[in-house]
Amino acid sequence: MAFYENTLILRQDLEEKKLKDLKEKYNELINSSSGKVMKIEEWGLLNLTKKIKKFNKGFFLHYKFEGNKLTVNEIDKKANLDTSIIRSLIVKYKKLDTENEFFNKTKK
Amino acid sequence: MKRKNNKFKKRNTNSLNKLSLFQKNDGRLSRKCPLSVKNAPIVDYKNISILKKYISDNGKIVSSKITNVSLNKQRKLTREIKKAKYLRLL
Repeated sequence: MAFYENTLILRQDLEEKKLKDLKEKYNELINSSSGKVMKIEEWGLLNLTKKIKKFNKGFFLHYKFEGNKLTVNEIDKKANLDTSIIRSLIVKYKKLDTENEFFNKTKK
Repeated sequence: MKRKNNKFKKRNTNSLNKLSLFQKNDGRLSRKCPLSVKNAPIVDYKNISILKKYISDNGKIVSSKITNVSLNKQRKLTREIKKAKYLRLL
């Protein structure tokens, strides 16, 4: 088992209901495919420095989880097919620090 | 040719002040790497405020000759900057 971080960029024109649904959907997807979610962060609506598919802004979701190859493959499959997700990045870590949050500080 | 001679003379005057050959030159002090000191900031693609220091206005990565970052940390910096660029944070 290894530690991973997954960040998703969602479209800016989604409703709040759909945002919550998507957040829970990927939480369940990780938990169901031999993984375990440790923390979920919402970075909120941020400006993109370059356009992605004609979008200037994006809603950022951040997952920190424990899992293996299967979980990573499943997230990649689903995220690529999903039309409401513009971009996704999965990074592997040896250790996860769940205390530091870089994007909550800037808001305050 | 004149310029070269001037440089050579300057160095000679410095070396005369030294006690031994292996003493460090006072004129050219080498700074330490700012990222490998104790309690150094974490180099990560989420920590944008630190990555912004090592990027030019055009979005290019600044070389380690100018910033004095160690080789190991410079390699890590480029990796993290490219991740941040992919997520359009930088």
